[in-house]
Amino acid sequence: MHRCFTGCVFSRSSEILDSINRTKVQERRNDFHPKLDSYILTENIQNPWFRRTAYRNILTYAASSAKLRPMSDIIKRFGASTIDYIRRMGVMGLFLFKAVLFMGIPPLKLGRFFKQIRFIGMQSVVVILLTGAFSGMVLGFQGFYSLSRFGSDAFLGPMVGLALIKELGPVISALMVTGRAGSAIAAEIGIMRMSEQIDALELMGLNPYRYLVVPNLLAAMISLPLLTAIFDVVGIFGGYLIGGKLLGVGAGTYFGEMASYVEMTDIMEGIYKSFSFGIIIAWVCCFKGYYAGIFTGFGSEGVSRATTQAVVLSSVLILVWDYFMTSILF
Amino acid sequence: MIQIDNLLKSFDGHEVFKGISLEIPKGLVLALIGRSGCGKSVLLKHVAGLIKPEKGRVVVNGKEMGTARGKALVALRDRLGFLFQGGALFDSMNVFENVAFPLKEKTRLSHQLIQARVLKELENVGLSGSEYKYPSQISGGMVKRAALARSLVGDPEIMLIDEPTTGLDPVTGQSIIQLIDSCHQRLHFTGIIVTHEISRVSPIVDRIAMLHEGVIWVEGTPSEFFSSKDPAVRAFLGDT
Repeated sequence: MHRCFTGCVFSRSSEILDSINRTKVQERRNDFHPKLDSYILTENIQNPWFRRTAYRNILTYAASSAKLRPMSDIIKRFGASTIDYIRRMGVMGLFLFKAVLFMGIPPLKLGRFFKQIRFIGMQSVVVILLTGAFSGMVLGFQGFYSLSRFGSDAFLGPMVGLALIKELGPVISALMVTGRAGSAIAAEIGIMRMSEQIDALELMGLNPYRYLVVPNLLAAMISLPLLTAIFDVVGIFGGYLIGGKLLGVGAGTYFGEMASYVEMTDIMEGIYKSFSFGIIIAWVCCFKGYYAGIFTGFGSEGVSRATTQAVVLSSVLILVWDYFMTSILF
Repeated sequence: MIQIDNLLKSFDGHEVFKGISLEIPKGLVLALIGRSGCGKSVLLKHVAGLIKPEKGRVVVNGKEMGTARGKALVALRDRLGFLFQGGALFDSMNVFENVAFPLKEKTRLSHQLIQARVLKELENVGLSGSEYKYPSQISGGMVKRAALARSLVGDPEIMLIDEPTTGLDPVTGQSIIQLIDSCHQRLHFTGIIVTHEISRVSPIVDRIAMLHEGVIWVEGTPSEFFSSKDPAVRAFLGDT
């Protein structure tokens, strides 16, 4: 698609060439370059003769061709897509508001809540153990070599501890849960939407938010801080395994310095972050699944798109929100 | 019982309903027919309150569905059963759990009573012995039967049935139709059956309405319908 200075859009570059051919620009065109559709328009824009001739011809072409779209049409389309985007954001905000509202109104669907605790929390433990251990071990290596350059390898414990507790623990845990549980939540709710199971719930007089969204939201809010705590502990021991056992930083130095430098406010910062990440994961993944078919297209393709969008948007929001939380809590 | 007044609806600028008016008295069953994509299922979802009308109104049991909210809407839906085209069974639950679900969630019946009622309902639809199978483990006809059992377990006053025989072989399709008829004889519900197979459904319905070009094109008894000289009706019946 090429946009040109006359305020019209050509649907194909060949149409540009057709138009230009009819204005006898061909001879001039050969002087510049052999493959020149958009080049002609951009390079010759300053040429008054070209501009006059092309403008006149394009107007004639615009009148005769339905494929040309006037600038007002483009503005309308841009405006419509902007309004649509803002509307979706509004729907997303409203979705969270409703979920929080129904969270406060009993009865809570306990069976579903415990099922989701098991799914989001317990079944993520192995992944968290693995990622936590290796993150801590990598930090142990990197931290030791960086700190030993300044003769400060005794501070390996606080470095690993603070990095994990304040930043890496909450963020990596959240990203892992997004990939493992968030995608499954979006897919499950998306398939329920596509196969009219959510409509069936509504027609039974049951509130889909109460059944599908609230248990996920609560389970994620509870599970994420706990998973982060596991990640932190395993990561700290992973760092000790490398720094303490392999590279010779003593256990007393590693844990002693950590106890001196890591404060309760640091731990709380990590907890607050992981709590808010839990909300983001459940909110985005439930929303994407719930509105699959409305915002992401129909059928299996719609569900797959909803799932992809859920993971991508959750991950991006986690990192963006992490920045803002760090700025506030720092 | 069900009253639709001058209903207008459009999707993405395409006018689906251009003023639909229809009335179904209590206890009668109406077959809603029309070409594919003419909006039959959309009309059914308007009656169920799943889609809000742009203009006009849908009145069920004297209450307007389009404006009902919260508890009023739940109360209206408690009297309503909906058989979805694809069944819409919860795929993570077995047949028993699916049929028991509305009773568990909406009533305070004891476990024993729920079990007895569900087993009775499954027996009525010929699904005894398949209680613990999952939707993915049973045939299309059995899914329809299970979905019918689920929609009937609450003794609805109104049944909305979306293409009950689509995708089924003639014998299974016929058995589903007979099942709906026997349920109607037992429960005396007011119903709308959306269908393409009018010749098969006509014996069990009281009236037939044809949706065509966004309006109710013709409406009458089955005998009036089959004797109609209207070109659209004749074309639908394959007499072109």
